[in-house]
Amino acid sequence: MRMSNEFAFSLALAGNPNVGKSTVFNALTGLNQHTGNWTGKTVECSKGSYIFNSFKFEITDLPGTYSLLSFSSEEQVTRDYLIKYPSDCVIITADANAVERSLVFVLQILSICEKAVLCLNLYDEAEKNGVYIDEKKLSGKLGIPVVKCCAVKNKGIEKLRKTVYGVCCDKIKCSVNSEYTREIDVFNSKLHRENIAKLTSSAISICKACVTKSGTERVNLRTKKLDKILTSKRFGIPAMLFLFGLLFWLTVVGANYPSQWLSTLFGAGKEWLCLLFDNLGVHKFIKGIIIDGVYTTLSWVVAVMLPPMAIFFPLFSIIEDSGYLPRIAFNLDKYFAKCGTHGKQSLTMAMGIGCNACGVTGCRIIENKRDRNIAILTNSFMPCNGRFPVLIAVTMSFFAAGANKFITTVEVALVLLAAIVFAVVVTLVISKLLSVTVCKGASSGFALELPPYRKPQIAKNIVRSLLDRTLSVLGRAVIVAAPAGAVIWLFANLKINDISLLKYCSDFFEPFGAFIGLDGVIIMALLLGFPANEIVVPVILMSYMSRSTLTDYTGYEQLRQILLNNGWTAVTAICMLIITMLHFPCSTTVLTIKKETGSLRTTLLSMILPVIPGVILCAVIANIARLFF
Amino acid sequence: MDRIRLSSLPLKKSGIITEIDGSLDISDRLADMGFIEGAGVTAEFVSPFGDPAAFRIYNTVVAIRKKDCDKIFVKELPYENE
Repeated sequence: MRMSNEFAFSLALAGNPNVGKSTVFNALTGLNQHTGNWTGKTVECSKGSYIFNSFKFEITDLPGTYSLLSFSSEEQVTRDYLIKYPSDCVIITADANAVERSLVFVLQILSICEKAVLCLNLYDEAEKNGVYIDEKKLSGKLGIPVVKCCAVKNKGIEKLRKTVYGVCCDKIKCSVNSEYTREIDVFNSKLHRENIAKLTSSAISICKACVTKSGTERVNLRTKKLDKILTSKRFGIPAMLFLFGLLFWLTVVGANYPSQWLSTLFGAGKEWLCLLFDNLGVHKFIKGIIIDGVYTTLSWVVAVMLPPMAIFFPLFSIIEDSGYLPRIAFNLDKYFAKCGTHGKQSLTMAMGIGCNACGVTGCRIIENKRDRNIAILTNSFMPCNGRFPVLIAVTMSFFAAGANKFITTVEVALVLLAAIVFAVVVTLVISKLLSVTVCKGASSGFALELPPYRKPQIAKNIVRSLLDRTLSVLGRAVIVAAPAGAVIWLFANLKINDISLLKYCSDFFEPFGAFIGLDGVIIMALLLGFPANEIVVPVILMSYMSRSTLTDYTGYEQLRQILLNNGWTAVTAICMLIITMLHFPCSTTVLTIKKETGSLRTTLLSMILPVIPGVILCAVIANIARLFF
Repeated sequence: MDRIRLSSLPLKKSGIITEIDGSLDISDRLADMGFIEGAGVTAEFVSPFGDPAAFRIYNTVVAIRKKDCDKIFVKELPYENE
C-alpha cells in the first residue's frame, strides 16, 4: 500500500481527438500545454503531475486517437503505451455530445486496461444540446466510475481527482463488464470492421439505456450557421483571405509602436553602455565587439521581432482554439488532392507561419508517410515569424511610401497576405512536382473531423502562447543573435591589407548576387542567417553601415536611405522579398526535419528544395528588369 | 427506396449505410469514425470548390472526398433534416 509522497501513481490520459483531453490535462496539472480545437493537435506525449491527498499522481497525456485497432503509426502510440506501461488508472476523456462514438473507444480501452475512469467532458455543451446522461447507470453498465466534467470551466475536476484516487487505492472497485469486450481482439487488424461493428452495437445499446436526448441542439445550430457561411461558395474563400489579412494587419499595427519604444529604449541603453565603458576605460576593441556587435544585433532582434510575435502567436492560438483551422483544410483540400497530397498539409502550413520547426513537428498529424514527407519538405516555403520582420521592413521602406499611416499599414498587411498566397501556390506546385518525381506513391485517404466551433479561451491563450511560443522562439533567436553579432563585428573590423574580412566575403558573393538582382552582402547575410532568419537584416545593415558614416538607424525612412545608398532599387527589394521566402530553412528546422524523418537524404533535399525556385525566380526577374530598364 | 452512393446523397438528407465497398482503402479509418453498415449519416455541406463534403454521423461531422464517398452506399431516408 502506497503511503508516502515519494511514490507516485502513474496515470494515462487517453481519448478521441477533439474531446478536450488536453484541457483536462491542463486542469488537472495546472500546466500550460497547448490545446487547439482540431484533430491531432497533440502530437507528442506530455507528462505532468499533481498532488492529491498527499499522494503524487503522474499523468501522461497520450495523443488523441480514434481507435486502438488501427495500425497507422499515430494510433499505435496510444495502444503501445497503454500495454507497455500499465497505469494505475487510465483516465478516458470522452465527448459527452458524441456518446456512441466515445463508448466505442471506451470499450476498446477496457479490453486491455482494467482500472479506468470515464471523464465525460464538454458536459455543458451536451446539456445545451439537450443531451442528458445518467452517469450512475452508465457506470453500472461499464463497470468503471464515470465523472461529468467541463474542463474549460474547471467543473468536475476535483471530483475527477477524487475518483482517480479512489480507483488507484482500490477504494473504488473496477469490474469491467466483459460482455462487451469479450470478442474483441485489439491486435487483429483483419477483423477491424467486424470489431468496430460489434463495439458500435454494444455502444448503442448502452446509450439507449443511459442517454436521453431532448433534441434542442442549440450549440450545434451555431456551428451549422457559421459553417454555412465559412464553407460556402461565395464567402468561404474570401472569409479565409479576410481573416488572414486581418491577422497580419493587427500584427503590423500592434507591433509598430512597441517596436519604436523598444528601439528608443535600447538606443538609450546603448548610450549608457558607451558612457560606462568609456568611464571604465575599456579597450576600444572590446567596446566595439560588445556594444556595436552583440548589443546592437540583440537589440534589433528583440525590438523588431518580439512585438509582432507577441501579437501574432496569441491571435493565431485563438483561431486554433475556435475550431476554424480544419475548415481551412476542408476548403482547400480539392487543390491539395489535385497536387497529390493531403488536405491536412494546409494545417501544417498554417503552423509553419508561426515557426517552420513547429510546422514540421506538426506534420505528424498526416498519417501517410509519403504525404507527410511532402508536407515536411515544403513547409519552409511558408514564411515564418522570423522572416516576417524582413518582409515588413523591406515593404515599409520601399513600397509603402505614403504619408497616410493607416493606408500604409493596410498596404503592408496586403503584401504579407500576398506573400502567403504566393507561398501557398508555390507549395502546391512543388508538392505536385515531388509527388510525381521523388515522392511517388499512393496518397492516403482523407477523412477529417470538423469539430463544433467553441468559444476560445482568450486570456488563457494569450498567456500561454506568450510564455510558450513567443518566448521560446525569441529565446532561440537571442541565443543565436548574440554570438552572431560578435562575429559580424569581428568580420567588419578585422582587416587584411586594409580591407575587412567582411568586404572580402561580400565581394566574393557579389557577382552571383548581382546576377540574381541582389548583392554580395545580402547573399552573405542569408548564409549567415542559417542559424536563425532573424539576424539576416541586422547583418545586412551592419555590413552597409560599416562602409558609411551612419552609426545607427531609427525608422523606416532612414532604412530606406541606407538601402538606397547601397545600391538598392525596387527590383532589389522585390528579389529580396522572394529570396527571403524561398531559401534554405533555418538550422532548427533542419535539425527537426532530421529528427522527424530520420533520413539524411530528405533533410538535404529540404535544404536545397526552396533555393532552386528562389534563385531561378530572382534571376529571371532581375534580368528581365535589366533588359527593359 | 433504392440504394444510392453517398456522393449522391442530397444535402440535408439522411441515409442508412448499407454497404461499404471493400476496395475503399480508408474504410478502416472511416469505420473508426463511425462509418459502418447500419449507421445513420446526414449530408451537411460541401466545400466551396465542390469537394470534399461534410457528413454528420453519430453527432460528429466528418469531411470525406467524393471519390471515397462513391464507394459507400446508403439507403436514403425520406425525411429532411435541418
